[in-house]
Amino acid sequence: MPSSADPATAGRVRLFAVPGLVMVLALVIVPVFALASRTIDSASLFGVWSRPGIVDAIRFTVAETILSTLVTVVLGLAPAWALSHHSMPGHRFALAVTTVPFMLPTVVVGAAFLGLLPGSVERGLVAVVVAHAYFNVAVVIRTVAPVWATIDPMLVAAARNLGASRSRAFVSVTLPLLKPALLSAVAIVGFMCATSYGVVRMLGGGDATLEVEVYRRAVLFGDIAGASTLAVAQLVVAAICLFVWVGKDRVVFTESGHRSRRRDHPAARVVAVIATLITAVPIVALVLSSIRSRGHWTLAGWRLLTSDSDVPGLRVDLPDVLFRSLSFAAIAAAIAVPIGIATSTFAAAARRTILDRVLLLPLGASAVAVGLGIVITYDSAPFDFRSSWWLPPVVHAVVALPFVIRVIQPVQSRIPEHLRSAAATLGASPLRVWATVDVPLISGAIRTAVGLSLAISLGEFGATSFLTRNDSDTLPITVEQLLGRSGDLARLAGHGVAVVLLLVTLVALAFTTRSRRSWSAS
Amino acid sequence: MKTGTSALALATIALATTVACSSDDATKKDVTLTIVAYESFTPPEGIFDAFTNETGISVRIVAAGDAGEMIAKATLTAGNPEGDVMWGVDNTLLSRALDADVFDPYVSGVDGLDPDLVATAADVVTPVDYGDVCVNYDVERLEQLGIDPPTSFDDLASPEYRGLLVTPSALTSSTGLAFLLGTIADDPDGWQQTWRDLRDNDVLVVGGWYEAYYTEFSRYGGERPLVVSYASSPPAEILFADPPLPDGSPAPTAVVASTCFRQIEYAGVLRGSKHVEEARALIDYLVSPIFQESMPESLFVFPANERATLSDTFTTYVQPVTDPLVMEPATIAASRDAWLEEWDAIVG
Repeated sequence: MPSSADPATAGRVRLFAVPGLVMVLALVIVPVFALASRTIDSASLFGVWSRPGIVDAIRFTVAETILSTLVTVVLGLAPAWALSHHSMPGHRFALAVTTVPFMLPTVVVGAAFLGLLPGSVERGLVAVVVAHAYFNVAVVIRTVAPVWATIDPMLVAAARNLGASRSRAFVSVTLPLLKPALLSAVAIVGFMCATSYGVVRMLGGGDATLEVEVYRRAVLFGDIAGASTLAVAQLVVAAICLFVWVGKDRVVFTESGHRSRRRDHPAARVVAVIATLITAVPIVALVLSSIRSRGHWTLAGWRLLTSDSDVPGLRVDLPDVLFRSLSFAAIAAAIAVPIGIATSTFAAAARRTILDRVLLLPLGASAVAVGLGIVITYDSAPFDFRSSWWLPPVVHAVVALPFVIRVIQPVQSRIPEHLRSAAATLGASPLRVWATVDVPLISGAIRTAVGLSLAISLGEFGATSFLTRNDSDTLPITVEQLLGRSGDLARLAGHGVAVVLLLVTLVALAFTTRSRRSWSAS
Repeated sequence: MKTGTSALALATIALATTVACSSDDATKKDVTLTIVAYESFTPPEGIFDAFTNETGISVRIVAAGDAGEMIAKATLTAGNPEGDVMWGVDNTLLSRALDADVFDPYVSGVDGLDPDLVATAADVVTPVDYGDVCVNYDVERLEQLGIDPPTSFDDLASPEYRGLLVTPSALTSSTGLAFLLGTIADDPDGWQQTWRDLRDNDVLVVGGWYEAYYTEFSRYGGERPLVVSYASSPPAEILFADPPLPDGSPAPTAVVASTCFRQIEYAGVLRGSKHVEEARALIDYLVSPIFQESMPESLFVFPANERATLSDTFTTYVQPVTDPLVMEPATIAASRDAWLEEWDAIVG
């Protein structure tokens, strides 16, 4: 809404910011600081930094975050371009496949990935960076491609006609228009890599991130005070990064409403196919490990999952687990998407990006500290929420919220202001403007957001595993349980459940992914 | 400040649920006890029916992450626990729970409990089961290599076994920690040298048990025929083999008995439980033969109650470790952190 909007309207729009803020405060910031105030003393506040490994962890965290983010964003540009510049059959499938690694629990794809790394790649920085790029490229595709699809090809054509080289046209026309989306991608990927736990534990060799150190101090050393000190420091640094970032991230408002239909770029098809294939290799390896054992094809793992046969020690009630995972996903999406839309609406109206930055904070927080913090924050009646059935899906929603906002907001911020003004001039109330102008134009982004929330909830492992759960094993937790036991059947069945997780994630993503055509239409 | 507001908002969300549950509870007089357990605690379905029929007490289980995560949360919630009974704190973690005063002391007096195990429980908790962490080896691969199975930690550090062993890290895996404690129990004064030798002998340290066993161990396509795992892994390799092994064929993997470190698990009444009497009755049930006999096959551990009879399927395949390495919880408590830091400096 224009800055000249009347104060009443501005006040109402401000309300849109409340639910998102409340969620992040209640489930991330308050728990982490509650944990800190309960445990930290002066000894840990200063003492923890001299513990062996902490300085190395800080150095490693900074190095791998910068490298991983750079590599991921650069590698992600090609598939982002390709997937926004073609509409061949299988487009939605390609988008879904390239997104899957981001959604699946690390242990599942990580193991397959580990098996495919050439023997010469040692565990350590390089392996971690490569894995982060593989897992997070989806973020770049998902945030950049929708914006790229809305860039008027005439702009680039005009620059080329005026004599700009291909690369110059890219740098001076395309890149500035992509900038808000790119900065979004950098922020998310940066946070994901900075707080990486599973990948670093599996591929880091002797190296650890601060997040891994928080876990070690809390769980292995039992030094919860030291862990909280590190977690608070991590959160404060994350907040500072966000604050600095706000100044950098100017949302570009473009008025280019109409675009001519473009032809599919032939190279786009090739790049899309290659990107899909590369992403698919570890996934195929995963599927194979549910049906191959000792050089034989076998359905024993699947039989175990689909029949009532009760092999002692390997009891899995797959329909029950699947139903629970799907219910959690639906609840998480039902919470995250409306709140995300409200927040984006506020940000678009207020032209302020500080709020959605704050809502990125959950990604910068330590899952260990959040889990422990929730346990001690909501521990007495009538607020004793520990082991409440609804806590996992609500936490999933908090994790999904930043992604929902990142998907919706760049598209919403590009809605030409004159459309809203025209509607308002014709007598539409602000709500009606929002419903008749904003919503139809962001409907595609909303679908994407629903798909992402569903997929994030389905695959969420870190925070969920730290909550005390009342009879609420989800698909990823069942995978961990089965793969924690020895024997062919355990391994086959564990990977089988992982394949089920893969399939439902793919379906959720494919059903809610827009084709390029509808991207262009917005 | 904001705490109140946000908690209030959450409370509203939860209100419907809470109301529904509490009215439900009010109509029943029976008590429901909550067992807080680690992730992989999966007793057979219906195993608590006998207990419920006899006492009218219902039992539900909540999962609290792995054993280390469970203890981290228990120390924070000591006195205001997330349940009534905790299952599965082990001898490597017990001291931490004792320091934080997590338990309301109770040792079950049920007949048949192994007194040696009870002696390790500090008069606060009750031992429920035990198992061992041992070096496992791939029988076939060692035969192909023409190498005899190792018989000691010293063997593992000798040139013949160079580059053959993989272990989960003691810093990120409880299995890895147990193996480290085993080397310390074996040679309290010289374990640092053992690990320097292991390091120089190209031991591979990975993040977790899964990577060690399913990606680096030669039985699952990796390069290394020696892996730190459990005494229960070889029987699982037979019982869960696919394609199934012919009847009577020997286990494809075996353990190096002299490397086995004993893990003892305990159950205790959580301090702050409102149903202490009932919780004690439940602990008695957990160590009674009827429950104890169900454990070997579902959890792959040995019962703490010597009167529990083991099924044939289990005894056929499981060679009990007769002389494992042991360590008192108090000893572990006194030095664990220092050992981990020393170990990290040698191997990291």
